Amino acid sequence: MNRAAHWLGPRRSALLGILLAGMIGAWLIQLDPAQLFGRAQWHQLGEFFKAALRPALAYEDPNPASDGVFLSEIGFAIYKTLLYAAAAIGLSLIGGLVFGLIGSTRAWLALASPAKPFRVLSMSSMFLVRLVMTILRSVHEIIWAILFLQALGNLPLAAVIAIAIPYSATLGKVFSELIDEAPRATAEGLRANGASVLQVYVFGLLPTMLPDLFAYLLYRFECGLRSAAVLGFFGAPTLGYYLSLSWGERHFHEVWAYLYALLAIIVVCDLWSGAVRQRLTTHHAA
Amino acid sequence: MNQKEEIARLRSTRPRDRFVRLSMLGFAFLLVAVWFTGEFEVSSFDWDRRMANCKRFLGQTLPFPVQQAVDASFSEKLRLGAHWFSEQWQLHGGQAFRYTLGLSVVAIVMAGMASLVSLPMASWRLARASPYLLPHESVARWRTFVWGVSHRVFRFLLILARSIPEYMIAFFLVVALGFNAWPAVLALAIHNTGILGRLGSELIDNQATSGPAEQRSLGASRLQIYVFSAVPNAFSRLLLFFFYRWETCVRDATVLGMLGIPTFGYYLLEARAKDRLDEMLFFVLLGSVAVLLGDLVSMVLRWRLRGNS
Repeated sequence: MNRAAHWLGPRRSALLGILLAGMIGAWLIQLDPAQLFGRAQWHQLGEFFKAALRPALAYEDPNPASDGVFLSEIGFAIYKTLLYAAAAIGLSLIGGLVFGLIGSTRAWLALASPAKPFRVLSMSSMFLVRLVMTILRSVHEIIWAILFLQALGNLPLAAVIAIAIPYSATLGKVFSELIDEAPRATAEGLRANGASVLQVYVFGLLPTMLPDLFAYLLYRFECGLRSAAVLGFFGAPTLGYYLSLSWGERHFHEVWAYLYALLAIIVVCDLWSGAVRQRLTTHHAA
Repeated sequence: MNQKEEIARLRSTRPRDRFVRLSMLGFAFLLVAVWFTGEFEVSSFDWDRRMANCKRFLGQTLPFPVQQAVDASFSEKLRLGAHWFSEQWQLHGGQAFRYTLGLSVVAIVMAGMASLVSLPMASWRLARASPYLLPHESVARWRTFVWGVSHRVFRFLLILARSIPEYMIAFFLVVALGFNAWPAVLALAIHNTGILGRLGSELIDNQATSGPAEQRSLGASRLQIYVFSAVPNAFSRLLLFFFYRWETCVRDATVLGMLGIPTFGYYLLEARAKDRLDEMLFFVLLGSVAVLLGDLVSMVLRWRLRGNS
């Protein structure tokens, strides 16, 4: 018994607990391994994967109605995906900076005047903003998009706002943590010399956070590209839209062309943000 | 040297990086330029119609019995609403709740296991001809080359896994596997293996090298260093990442139902197709509660982890 307890240290028991949770989950959704082999129609996907080696460079089924060039359509879809992602990230940056400032503990505690009513106000607004951020984040951008489509009708801005709402909340959470962990010396010096709260935020806190903030923003941009592409399945004119159309017509070579285009922009963004982060950690410079 | 010169000297000698600066400027330009493309302009022409539509939408999101009982008192409306809620919960809500949470747990456990297996190939300190090279050791060129290539190929596979949105992976898999849990489970597992593999390998690569190097000099193999040194040292951080990704899994599982798998998304689209906006909002809110519950459980677990380590 004692030996068993010794063998079952904190790490092993955590691993076992996780495995057990996985089994309970599998039981809840009645996950049946037989469905992976017996009745599965893998050969249906075989045709699709065969097309991977030869992505389309022109329309598979030249349609008299659309006399466009396929490659230019891919370029257009990439352009729209970038556009939607960038617009959403721009809005989220604004929302995130506001949420982040109000939601950070130390910005309030260090900068607020010590008068008690002000402290109560600042603490309650901090908790309120954190609660709002958590709730906004808990609804997926696709669901936001569907709600907006239902309420406002088809509108390009609706897709952008749908992405921007949960992203603002996520950025706000990360920014508030960055503010809380930022070095305080500059901010406190400025404050002691009579700078206002906003001045301290803009000149004392933001510059020290800038490298981390930018690196994280690039990562969110990469996520934004994925979200923008997927919203194409729900009507936005991004890569997902064209991909689902080609899929519906079983033009698998075209599907792969769109998929490679999406992978290309995401991998480029991934490498870019990786390079930026590496330089920031080695030089600490911006 | 007067103060002005001193400030100018400090300014000119501060650390700078042209690539990072250009990246920031370019990115800022992108964020602003988007708004001048005309893509997102809203014409005021049909704005009134949209607002009217919005009002109609909001009116229909109240539970149907409450909409009907126009003249009822507030407490009566509350009772009707509560009754409607419990009906919806028994009909599909509870089942969707359990299914979404179960699916997310299975997917993240699979991703966690897969990433643990993949880490020795993903970490550049471990995936080389001689990990934690001994001082006087020499390695054949071809072995360095083979390890270098296979490590990079493996890293690229992980990038691919996390680059394809999980929604698209599930979209493709539904064709082969049908409308059961597997397409969603596999899609979430594949995507998250890519992410956990990257985060975990960064942890291992940033660990102090003195310990593993010593074990290596005592004759430990690559696998022994990984299992008995790298993983135990990184364990609590690995668990933090695991729970953080589980939160996003719950969130993503809610929408994967839109592909015909019975999570919230499925019932949400079904309600929209029937034009029952009250039921639609019910599933949105219930999905949100499931995600918040996941956040809460994960927060408590991560908090306890930090306390222990």
